Amino acid sequence: MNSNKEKYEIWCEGNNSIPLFYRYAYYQTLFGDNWDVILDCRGENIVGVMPFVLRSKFGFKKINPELLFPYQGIWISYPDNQKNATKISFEKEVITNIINQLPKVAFFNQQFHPSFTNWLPLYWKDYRQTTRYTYIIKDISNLDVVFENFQKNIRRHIRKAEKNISIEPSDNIELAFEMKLETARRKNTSSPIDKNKLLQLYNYCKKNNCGELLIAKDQQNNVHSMFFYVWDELSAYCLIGVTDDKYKNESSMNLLYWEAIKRASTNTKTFNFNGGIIETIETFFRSYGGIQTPYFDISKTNSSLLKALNYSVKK
Amino acid sequence: MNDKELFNQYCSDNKNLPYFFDYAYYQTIYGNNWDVILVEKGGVVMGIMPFIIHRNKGFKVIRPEFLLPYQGIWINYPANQKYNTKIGFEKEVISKIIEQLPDVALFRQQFHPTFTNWLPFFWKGYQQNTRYTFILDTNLPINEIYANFHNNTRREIQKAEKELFTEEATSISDLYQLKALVYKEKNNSTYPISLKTLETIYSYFSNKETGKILLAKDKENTIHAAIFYVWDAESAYYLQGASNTKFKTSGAISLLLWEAIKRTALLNSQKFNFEGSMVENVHRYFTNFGGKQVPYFEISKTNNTVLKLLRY
Repeated sequence: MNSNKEKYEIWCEGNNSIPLFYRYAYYQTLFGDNWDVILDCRGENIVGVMPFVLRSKFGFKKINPELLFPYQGIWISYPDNQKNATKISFEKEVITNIINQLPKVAFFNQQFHPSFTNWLPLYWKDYRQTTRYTYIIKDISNLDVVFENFQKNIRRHIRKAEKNISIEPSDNIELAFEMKLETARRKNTSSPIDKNKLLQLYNYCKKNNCGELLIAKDQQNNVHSMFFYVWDELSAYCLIGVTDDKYKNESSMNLLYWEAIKRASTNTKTFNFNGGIIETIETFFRSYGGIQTPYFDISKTNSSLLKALNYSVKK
Repeated sequence: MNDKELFNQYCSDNKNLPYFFDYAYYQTIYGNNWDVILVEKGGVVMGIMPFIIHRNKGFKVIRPEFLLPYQGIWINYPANQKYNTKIGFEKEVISKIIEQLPDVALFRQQFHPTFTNWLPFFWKGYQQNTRYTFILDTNLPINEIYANFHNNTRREIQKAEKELFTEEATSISDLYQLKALVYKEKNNSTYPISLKTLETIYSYFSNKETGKILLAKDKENTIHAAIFYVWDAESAYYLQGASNTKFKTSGAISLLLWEAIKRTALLNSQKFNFEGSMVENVHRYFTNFGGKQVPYFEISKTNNTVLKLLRY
């Protein structure tokens, strides 16, 4: 193991305020030895990190968004009580230090955490940026208020589903994977998620009490849908939701979201739907009363061949 | 009433609109060469987008106008909207405006910082990226504003105060001369705004007493620098500034900005907007005035295949 990773591991162990997706253990669980991390250290202090996974395609090296990660990119650890101007120059220093250590890649694209709001240092290094959105319920401590803020139709769907459908925790992550696969088959695509990775992640979350799989069944024991969500100190995040096509009008997913929010409120403060830019789904996410929260998609195409192919648009 | 007349009516009923969404500004500066898209429901204006179409090498283009900090869409939100209703309202208004946009080869506009939801543009194939400006809260006590400046900036101002004094100018020609010189000396290029355009814009603001040109001079009455800033009910905007290349280190611009900030604090405008900048050293300079870095959206779309290939 290289010394950066060791330092990073120790830093993460003593630091619960780091979001789950920026932790040593999360990367180690999903990628074993096939990932790396860039650090900005000030003496013994780490002020910025960027874990990343380098991939190769057609001879091009690239860093792309990974599945099972809502956010990646740079995480900055700010000192307390910084003035506006100090904070901005601190961000510039940390971001520039990290980017200067980035290995040479033909293509870089990462979606940054919503708390990353100043991309200028990356602009000065010829990166591009665009804004995406997720919906976040900012306070799940009072469940009555949360429920009251759902739109009427959501509340109605939940009340209806409650009559026939029950929710319970499940360890059957294989079933969630099979259901995802089935959905993909129906749409004539292949499931993008690697089964082993999903199982490893599930086991990691179970062991560390930072994730849970829920299953929705009717009285005849038919599985309607499944829902896998994870959490850290600040937020819960939806990772996978899947509904059996036969039961897609039975509102089990509405009930699953509600149950997940209720259960998450004992562990964390906010609930992130991890989505909200696809036109047909946006209304669905919005109706749970979350706040439309921007986050940055940042990219750079270094290869002139890829540029000519206009690769900069997406993968 | 047609859309322009409705827009005019809406603006005379809403004196607090930012100046770059004001009918009078467009009418004065652009005469008949502008248009507006307006969305209304039951006689109530819900959204407006004034715009100017340029013809560039045979292509129709909507692009940012000189001396307008922001353009794009202004949304008139009903009072007391629930959050979810508000997002739905934005979606409706923005989509209706996009539907009415004329067919142009290139669209590019910089939107007001309050415009934070560009999804309806995304769904229509537009692109977005985030830019930044610096905004100072001029409601704060003036000594607190000054204390928030970086040491270097305060030192620069103190030094400049010993050698220079500031005064109001009554014409924009001194600023124009300085600007033209800066452009010429930099890359032998031409200042892209004509004196006539500058004069039209300046007289629009000076007639309304909502804009000023300040000069920094030394004891020999030599002009070291000039700035032009304007204000509306919401904010003051630093639009243009130039310093005499011979006196680059005299801190004259910092002195003038400080003077403009002091004057803004005495007005009803609540903010001082530095208008930029994405340029690294300008950004560092503005950072030192202690304002807040505020994001705003640039939204664009290239409809023409030839322009796309040229990565216009």
